[in-house]
Amino acid sequence: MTLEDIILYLFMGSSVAAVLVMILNRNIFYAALGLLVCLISLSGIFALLQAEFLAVTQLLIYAGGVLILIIFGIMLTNRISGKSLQTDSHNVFIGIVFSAGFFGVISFSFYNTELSPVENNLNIVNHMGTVGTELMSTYAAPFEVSGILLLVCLIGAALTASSFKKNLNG
Amino acid sequence: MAKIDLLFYLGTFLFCSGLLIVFTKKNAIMVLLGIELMLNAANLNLVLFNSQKTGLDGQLFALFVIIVAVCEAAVGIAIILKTYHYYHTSVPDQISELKEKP
Amino acid sequence: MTASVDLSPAFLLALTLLSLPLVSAGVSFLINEKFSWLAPITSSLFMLATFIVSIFLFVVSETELLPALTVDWFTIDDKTIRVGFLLDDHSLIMTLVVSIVSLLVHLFSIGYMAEDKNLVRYFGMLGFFTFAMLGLVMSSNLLVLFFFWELVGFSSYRLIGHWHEKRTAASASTKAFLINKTGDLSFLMGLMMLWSASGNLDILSLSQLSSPWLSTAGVCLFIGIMAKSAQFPLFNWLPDAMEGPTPVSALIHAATMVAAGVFLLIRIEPVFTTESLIFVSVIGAITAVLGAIGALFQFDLKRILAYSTISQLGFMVMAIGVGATEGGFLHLLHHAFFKAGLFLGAGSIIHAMHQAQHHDQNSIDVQDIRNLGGLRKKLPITFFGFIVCGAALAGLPLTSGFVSKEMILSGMSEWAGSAFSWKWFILLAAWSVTVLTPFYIFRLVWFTFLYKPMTELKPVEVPVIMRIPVVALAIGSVTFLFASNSWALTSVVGKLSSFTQHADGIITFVSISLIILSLTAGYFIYRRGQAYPLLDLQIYLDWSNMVVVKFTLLLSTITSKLDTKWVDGFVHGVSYVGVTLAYVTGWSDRKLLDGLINGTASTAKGLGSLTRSIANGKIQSYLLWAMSGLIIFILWILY
Repeated sequence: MTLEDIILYLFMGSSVAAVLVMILNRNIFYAALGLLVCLISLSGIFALLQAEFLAVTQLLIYAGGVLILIIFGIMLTNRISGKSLQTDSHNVFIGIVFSAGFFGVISFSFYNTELSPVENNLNIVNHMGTVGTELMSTYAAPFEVSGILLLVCLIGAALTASSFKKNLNG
Repeated sequence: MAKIDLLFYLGTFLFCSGLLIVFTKKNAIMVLLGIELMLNAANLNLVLFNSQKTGLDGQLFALFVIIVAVCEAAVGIAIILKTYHYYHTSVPDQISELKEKP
Repeated sequence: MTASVDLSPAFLLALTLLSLPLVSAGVSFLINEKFSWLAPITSSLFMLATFIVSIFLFVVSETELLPALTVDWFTIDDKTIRVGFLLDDHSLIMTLVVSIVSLLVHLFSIGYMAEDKNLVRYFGMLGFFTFAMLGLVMSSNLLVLFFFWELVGFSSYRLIGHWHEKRTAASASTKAFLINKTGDLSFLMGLMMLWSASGNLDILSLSQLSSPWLSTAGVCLFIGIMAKSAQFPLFNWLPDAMEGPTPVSALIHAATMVAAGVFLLIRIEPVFTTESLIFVSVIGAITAVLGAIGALFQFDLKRILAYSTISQLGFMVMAIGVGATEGGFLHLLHHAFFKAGLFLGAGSIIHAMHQAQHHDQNSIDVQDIRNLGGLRKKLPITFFGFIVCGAALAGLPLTSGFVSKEMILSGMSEWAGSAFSWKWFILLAAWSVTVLTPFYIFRLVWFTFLYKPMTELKPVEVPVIMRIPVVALAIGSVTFLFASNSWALTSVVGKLSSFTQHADGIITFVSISLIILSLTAGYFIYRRGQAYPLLDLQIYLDWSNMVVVKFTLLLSTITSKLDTKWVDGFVHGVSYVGVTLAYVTGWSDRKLLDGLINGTASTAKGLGSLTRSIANGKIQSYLLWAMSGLIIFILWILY
């Protein structure tokens, strides 16, 4: 067991712990923080799986952007003081049954699949540069389309959330 | 158990946890968090499958998933803010304009 | 529709005659509000054309004998409905009268309605009414006639309510409509009886009918006529209908529409058996006397004339009931002229007074004869027209009313016989109407024109366009028009002179002396104004309404008593038996059937709540069940 493996197991454990906090804790804010921990752990796992670009993006966009957005959402839609940050659960039993069932089904299929071990030494040098080249050559079209998607979503989100009545009512 | 198997089980676990959160939590923001978790679990799977072969398809696909997830999060939060503005609640079950009153 | 249409000139003329007023109405309605002054001109021109065409039709009918000009419309089973024109003497003369009165009323309306805001609607409806009336007069089939009958009622409703901003006008139009509908219902029932008896509604084939239902059918049809012609007890709408514009009253509620009932009575005379004719004559007699008495106690100019119309219509119905059909028809024609003349004269008075009132800022009721008086010098031409028409109404010699009245009276005397029977009461009613009519018309003329003025208003004579119709109608009310051969319309005279029988000399003498006596009595009674309290009592004012209402209330009380005592007793008895039976069946139900049914029901309920719990409107539950579907799908795919 190398140092890398230990760090990997640590990340895995922390992400599982964070997800358990998300499920079991009733406070939304703690759940958001749990997600943050989970996402950081995942970015670490990505880095260890030689997906450095993805790891960085994960840190930047998720931990830096989306989580901040969600925490703003929580603060804007719930009163900070008192019990309002608490959330209740419903469909608990049947939800657990179905989730566990799905987990069982997928795990069983993994269990029946022969997987090759992770190749740590993928014969790609200069990983980050390759991703950039691929993105600008092979995946140029999806890249541009995703740019348009981001723009549309930016405008749409701004318009939807704005309290400018004239825009809303046409 | 091999490392890669464990990672696959982790991805499945994360996905199912996200599913559970989506099913059981009443608050819409929690549902959104659950969806983010599921997307990340899918990303993990993509990266793992990418390591099974040469090339970068899985990683780049994960990149686009992140982009879509960002869009989804932004629009979702905007909608939740707007509904909260109208109904003063972020619990979807309490919004029942179209439902027959019991 | 295989039958070839006989396009004879008469048929085409009749079609033109029918369509011209409709075109007039259409043109009027199409005129833009901005050019509403055009509507009186165009519709009057169309009416003139209608009149000319009706004269042509009359002339054509001289040269060729007109059969019933009919076309097969549709066939049900083996029964064919035929539509077309039935142009006999009656309908031809009636067509002529309708078109000429309509023309004169159109002319009068140009002046009378000059300041109205809804000219387009008014003239449009006048044209439409003329169309419906002509159709009613000419149609050869009772079913088609019924359509026009309804259209006439509808346009009457619209025209009474022309000033619907006035609450009284709106309610009067509704009243007229409802009462007419009551009659129409009965009329329709009569038509159904005729249909079931013969399978044929052609007017010409009515005479071959023989059915045990004939008397009932006749009475049913007559009830429809009663509503349209304002006979007792369905006459209350006519005085109220005076809320409409005065030319409308002249056209619809004096000359044509109310006369349509009498006309129809003549048309379908073969339907009436001896029994139903008794009913007709009794109703006519009651109406004639009640109307005449009612006219005595009214003070409103137009309401007096309305009651007079009711009385005269009752007189005609009575005449037809006793078999003096031709006299009744002649009286109908004469009445159309002189009553329209009287109404237009009243319209002239009202118009002139309104103008003067407008000038003086005075606010008296100008239709109240107590506020009028001394108009003879101020409105000389109107006075002339009014006095001639009034004389015709009273039945003075040398006027048209005299001739027809003599015919009716002699016919009735013949019918009543020399031996005393119930028929003498009918005869008595006719004679009392003969006495009362000059009395109330003298009262009207006296207080309006001859008595000392009651107001300082200075009315001036109405415009020429309004004088012409009054004078024309007054001339039409003079007898020598029909007696002289020097007039161009010799054919009219020829047809009419065939009606004129030699009247009994004694009856003529007696009636003339009675009329003169009545006029003299009227002069002495009213010489000093409303002197006699007996003739002034306000309680008589709406006696007719009260009698009907009281009678109806009494009838309803009696029927409700009957209901409680007999009908309810029976119902209770039946219900007791029913309750006992219900107990027995209820026991077996509970014990035997309910178990089964409840079991089924609870199963269904359980299933229902199960499925309902899935579709509970919660997004996450839907997701959950979708997920379960996904799991099953994956399992199915993988294994």
